[in-house]
Amino acid sequence: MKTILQLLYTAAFLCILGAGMDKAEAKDKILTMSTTTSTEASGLLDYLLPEFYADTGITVRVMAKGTGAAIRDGMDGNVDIIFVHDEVREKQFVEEGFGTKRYYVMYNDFVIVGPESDPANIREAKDSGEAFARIAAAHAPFVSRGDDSGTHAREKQLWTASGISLTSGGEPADDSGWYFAIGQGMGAALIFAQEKKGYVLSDRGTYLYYKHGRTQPYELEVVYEGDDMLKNPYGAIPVNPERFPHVRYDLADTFARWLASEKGQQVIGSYRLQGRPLFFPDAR
Amino acid sequence: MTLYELSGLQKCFGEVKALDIAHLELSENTACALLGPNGSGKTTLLHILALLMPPSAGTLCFRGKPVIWRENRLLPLRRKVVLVEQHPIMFSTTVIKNVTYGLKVRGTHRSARKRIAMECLDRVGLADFADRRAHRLSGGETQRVAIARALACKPEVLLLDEPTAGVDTENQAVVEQIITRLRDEKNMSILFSTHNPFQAKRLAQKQIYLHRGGIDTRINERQS
Amino acid sequence: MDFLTKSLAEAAGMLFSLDPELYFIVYVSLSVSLMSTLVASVMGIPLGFFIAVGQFWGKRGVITVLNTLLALPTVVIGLFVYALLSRQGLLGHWGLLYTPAAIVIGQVILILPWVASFTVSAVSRIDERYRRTAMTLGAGPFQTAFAIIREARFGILGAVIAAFGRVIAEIGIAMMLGGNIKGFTRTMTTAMALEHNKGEFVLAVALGIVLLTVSLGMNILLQVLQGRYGEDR
Repeated sequence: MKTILQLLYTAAFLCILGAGMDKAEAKDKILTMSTTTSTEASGLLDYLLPEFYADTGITVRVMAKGTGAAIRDGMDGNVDIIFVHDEVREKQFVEEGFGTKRYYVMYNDFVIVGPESDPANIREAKDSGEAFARIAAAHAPFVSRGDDSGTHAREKQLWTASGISLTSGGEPADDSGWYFAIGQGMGAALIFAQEKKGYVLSDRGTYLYYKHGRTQPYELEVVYEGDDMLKNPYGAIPVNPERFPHVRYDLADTFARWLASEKGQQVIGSYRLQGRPLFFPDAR
Repeated sequence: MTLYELSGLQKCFGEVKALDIAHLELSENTACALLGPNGSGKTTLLHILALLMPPSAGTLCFRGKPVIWRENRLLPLRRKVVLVEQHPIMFSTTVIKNVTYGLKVRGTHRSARKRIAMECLDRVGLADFADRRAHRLSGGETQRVAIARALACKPEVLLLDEPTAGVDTENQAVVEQIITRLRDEKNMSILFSTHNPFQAKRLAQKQIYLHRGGIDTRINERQS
Repeated sequence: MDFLTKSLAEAAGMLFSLDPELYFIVYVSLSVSLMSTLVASVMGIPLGFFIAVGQFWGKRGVITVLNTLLALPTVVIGLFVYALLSRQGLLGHWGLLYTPAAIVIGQVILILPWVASFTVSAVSRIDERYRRTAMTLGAGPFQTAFAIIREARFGILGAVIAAFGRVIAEIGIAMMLGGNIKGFTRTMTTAMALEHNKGEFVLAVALGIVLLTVSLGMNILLQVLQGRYGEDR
């Protein structure tokens, strides 16, 4: 009996504590943001958000997921702002009235990561479409995000550019034994590719973080880079308050403007991982 | 005055008719023994008289008023009648807490509770057992604590179901002594069931014979 | 092997240096799970009790349904509650999605059948004589109920501990309804999944140690309680 009571008391105590904490936070300015795994996993947000808080006193609660899920959160009004990289769908998001405005924030680029030995010989491809065609032709292991993310969308564009036969979903028709759609984040895809000694399309930020930013070593290399089709722009879009009156639009817009401001751009541009820049300011 | 009056009282468990009493009256402040073989309906009758189980048919009058078998009406009556079961069960706590239970649910003050409980334990000769774990007592001790627990409620009617069955000879004598003393104090009605006609004769002023759920009129008449 | 030992050593260092991020995650996990367990107990114990002692039509059916609900997968609950709490959903105006409260709602749905079902069996095992004894000694319906629950306390406590163990180790609901927000809804399990995704193992291993300790501790507590119970009989 005593034990039950003690348990109850502890629980009640913690609840009161929790409730107190919630109240304290309610007075603060809090913003909920869905973003892609790349911005969080690359360490950029850990560098950027404290600066934003110092300037404005606004706390940003971050949920990192695939771009598809992040846009979905915005369309359902479950977050105040989205910060993603899939220009086509972002513009559609604004056009359909879910968001107010797409702010150009920054870009990084995609790289094709693979084993040093480069079994599909893609280093010699003349563009990224051909690189993908060579991977398919060699049936070299390829890891797809398969999670409807911005990276996944880019993979599909590159498959289209490769000219191989595709399914209606935009993925290789012949996928037996070499094409792995894992349905997870960028980091998981990179790790998976390492285990399979295969190729994977990655944003440069996440790749660099895995290669140099961690305690564990990462053995895959960049085997193809620099193509225009690999450029990867990020946009921030506040969720439209006319559609969802409960969103904290003023906070969201403040954040988006701050990202595009001189100060925000300077912070983004100055972020380094192992001495390398990851993201390039892109405000217009 | 008449304590209980039963008329046309029946209790069925499914197809089996466990009790069928055309008429029976029990008077106040007497000690009465309920005799009969196993399965004759003694326990069923005691449970009905303790107001723990409604009859299937017929009426039961308590002090001239018919009992209404609804929970809110039964509670005040139940607080006057206490049953000690054939194999009493102890709450898994100390002896004293078992004995004070009836007082606690009646809202008796804490200090009075303890005093009354100790008196009752003393009556059954187990005052030293107050702090023992109640469910580790022997059969005879359990029976005596159960009687103390019932007495603490200051019942007007005490029902005992085979109080000496499964109890060793020494404890049997103690239990009989307790019942005798309660009978002689004459401030409560006692009804107990037993197999033993000699015990019934020793302890009770009146005896009722049950047979196959009914009153065995032949024996009852012969006796009177 | 070297990789694992290295992670373990660093994780131990993190635990002993009282890393604030680590302990906040532990705090979120514990408070959310305790709250879920508390709410589920407050609802489930009386529910289980009434199912056990009540005599009503369809009782067997209710118990069967309850036992079936024990197998509810966390992701199905997550999806269902998500659909309810999303701004587009029926209860969207509450604005609860991606908060600890959302996790609590999902977890309560997960363990309510556990608490209720185990209470049913714990109370059903209790000797019928306890009910009669309490009643004949003058207890009212609630006092009688309390006396029976008191006798079934070890069984019920076992159910509550098992339920707590289930929610603290659960990930589907915490991820789908909490959103794994750092410093707000990031629990031990969602943090471990994230760290694994990031290919970082130190924090994950440290959290794994805490989670394992809590789970083992709960089971030891359960064993001790049941041991005492067994001895008492």
